[in-house]
Amino acid sequence: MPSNSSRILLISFNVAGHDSLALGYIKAYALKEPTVSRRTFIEILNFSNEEGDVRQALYYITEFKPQLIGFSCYCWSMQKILELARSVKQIIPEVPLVVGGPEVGPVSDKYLEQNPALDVGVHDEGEAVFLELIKYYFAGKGKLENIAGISFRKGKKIVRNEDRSPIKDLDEIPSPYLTGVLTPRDGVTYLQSFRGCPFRCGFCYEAGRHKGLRFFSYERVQAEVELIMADSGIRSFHFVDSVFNLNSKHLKKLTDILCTANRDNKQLRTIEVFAEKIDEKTVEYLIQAGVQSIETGPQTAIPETQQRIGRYFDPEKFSRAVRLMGDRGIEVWCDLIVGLPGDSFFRCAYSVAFIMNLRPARVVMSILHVLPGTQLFEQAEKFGLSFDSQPPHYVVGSDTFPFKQIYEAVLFSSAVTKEYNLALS
Amino acid sequence: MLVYEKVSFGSECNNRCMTCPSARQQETPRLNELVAQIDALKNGENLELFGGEPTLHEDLVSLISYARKRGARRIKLVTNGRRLADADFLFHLVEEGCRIFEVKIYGSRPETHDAVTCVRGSLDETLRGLQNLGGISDSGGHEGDIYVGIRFGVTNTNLEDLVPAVAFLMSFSIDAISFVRMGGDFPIVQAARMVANAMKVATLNRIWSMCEGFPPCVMKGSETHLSELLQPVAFENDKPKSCLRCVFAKICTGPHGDYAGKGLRDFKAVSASPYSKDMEYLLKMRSIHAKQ
Ligand code: SF4
Ligand code: SF4
Repeated sequence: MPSNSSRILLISFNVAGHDSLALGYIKAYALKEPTVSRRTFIEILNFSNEEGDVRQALYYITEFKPQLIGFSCYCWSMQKILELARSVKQIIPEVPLVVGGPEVGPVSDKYLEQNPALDVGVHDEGEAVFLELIKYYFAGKGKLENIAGISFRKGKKIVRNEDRSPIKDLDEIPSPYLTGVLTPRDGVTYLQSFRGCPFRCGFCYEAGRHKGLRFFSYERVQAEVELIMADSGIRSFHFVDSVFNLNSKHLKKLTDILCTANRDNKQLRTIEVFAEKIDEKTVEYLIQAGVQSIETGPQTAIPETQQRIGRYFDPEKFSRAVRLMGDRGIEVWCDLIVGLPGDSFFRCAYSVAFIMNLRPARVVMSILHVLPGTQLFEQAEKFGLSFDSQPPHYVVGSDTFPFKQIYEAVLFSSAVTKEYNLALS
Repeated sequence: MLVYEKVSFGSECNNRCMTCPSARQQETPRLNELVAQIDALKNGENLELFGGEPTLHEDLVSLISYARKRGARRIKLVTNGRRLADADFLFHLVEEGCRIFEVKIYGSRPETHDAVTCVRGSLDETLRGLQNLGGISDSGGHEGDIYVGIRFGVTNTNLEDLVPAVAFLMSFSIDAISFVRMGGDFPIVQAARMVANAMKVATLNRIWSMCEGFPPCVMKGSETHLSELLQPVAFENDKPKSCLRCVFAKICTGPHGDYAGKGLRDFKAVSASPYSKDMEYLLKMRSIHAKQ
């Protein structure tokens, strides 16, 4: 780091061993600007959410002496970040602390109001906003009032600026892999071919965001894929796309790219698919693309609940797809959420039986988080849904699913899914 | 929830439980007979090895590895756990592919447990077996983990020990407990209350628990823990007439044979239940299990 550089720290608490792709994008976008790349040193710091300790991060911060810190916030990491931010403010009160990410975006004003340590909250997509913040803090350019897409602290007041439209042409964001901002590593490299989601699942943050999908160019995706394929240390990688089989044209295009580049059988793992749309032809594409494992719903097998959470669910088509993929050797992981409004203990137990009967490779159980910005969060009253207002926003009950039953359903499903998932390979 | 196909190891055992269901002496099958049992299974995907006491069979390890080679994905061992006190033996079983254990227990003290098994020192050995299982769970070495369920036999001699026993068992690495009614020579209502309390202790400690042989009418408030509603069990259709008025009539297996002829006063039809709206799904669940 040149001694006269400005120093920026970007921090995330992730699943152990993972790098934050979001922070990779933010750094790559910022470094695109010559004034920034020349005069600024940006460091990304990834901590394990399970084991990473706030004091460890604090020590690093005091050593690195940043002049600006950005935090990538999720429901699972927010408490740690708030604790860290409070301590950082005690030690270096002059350093602006910026928070963004799904946990903060929809309720950034609330976070600033309740946490005096935080200075700026980013409403949504962070790349363009963070670049403007860098220019403001380090080059003295513009005013905070004029940066669309943020809320900020001004004296005792919280000022909310207008929202910012998302970047239309995603290729404006340089690839963190192609620019060397992130180093591809085996098993934890995540690619993205588009942003957004065509579906509107009530529990999902992605559903409430932008209308319409935005795509990276196929040339860009191809270049990233080629880079990964050329790396002999990588055996498997992932795509973070909300739906890998978005439509047959897109799937075919991705398959062509992957198939052509994949000369030594690298595995594409745990991509998300929309199972009801999977037929023999789709499975063929997935196999050609090197897909080893997929993750899919149904979250619940109860049609009334599916309707309440705005999901399309066809039990027959779903079952057929799971079997079809399983028969062709693709590992299928089925997801189940405990605590959805419309469900109850025995409905949940039925969902477990329904899923296990399809013999997926794995059943993944999670507890409902009622996340800011989701339909369930906005319409909680309608469903008699109660949840913890503080992250990770665990559900506490709903009109059909009292807490006692939710607690028991969690114990029950954890035990049976553990037994199920111990299958020998 | 998972349906297992059974492989019998005969009735040979190192305990002499008063409640033993395999009272009728059965020959210990030879390896080729065990292999034939596996070959004859419909799916061969989930296997339950039971006895007697399968761990006494000299070919247990070879059989597990045969089952695995033949495509078994889950091999469950139902055991009194005594031979698992030998850590090397247990290690062998796990290595060959046995990852799911169901350990039978009757109490937390020799006065309750050994009194049922009729073998002094049997509890001590079983607990050492459980400790060894815990060691494997905690090391997470064998492709992650193993599953340890406790099958707690409820008899007329251990009702008072159920709650203390669950509290005691919490210090072992276990995943679930099932309370199984053995026989009908005790008042069902009193036993049901003791079982319900024991299940509450387990729930409080975040361990899943279930009970078997206690119909919903005697387990109000604990319906979610009734094995018969969650697991595929044989359906008895000779229920008393009073049961026909019960909201659980279509899914309850009835007061069970043990209580027939002893007066069925305690089994009172349930007229309303918070779970009646789930009946459609309980029936669907039953049909899923039946198809397997
Ligand atoms: S859960 Fe998946 S499919 Fe549903 S809205 Fe979210 S990203 Fe889309
Ligand atoms: S009354 Fe009969 S049908 Fe109803 S719960 Fe009791 S045993 Fe079952």
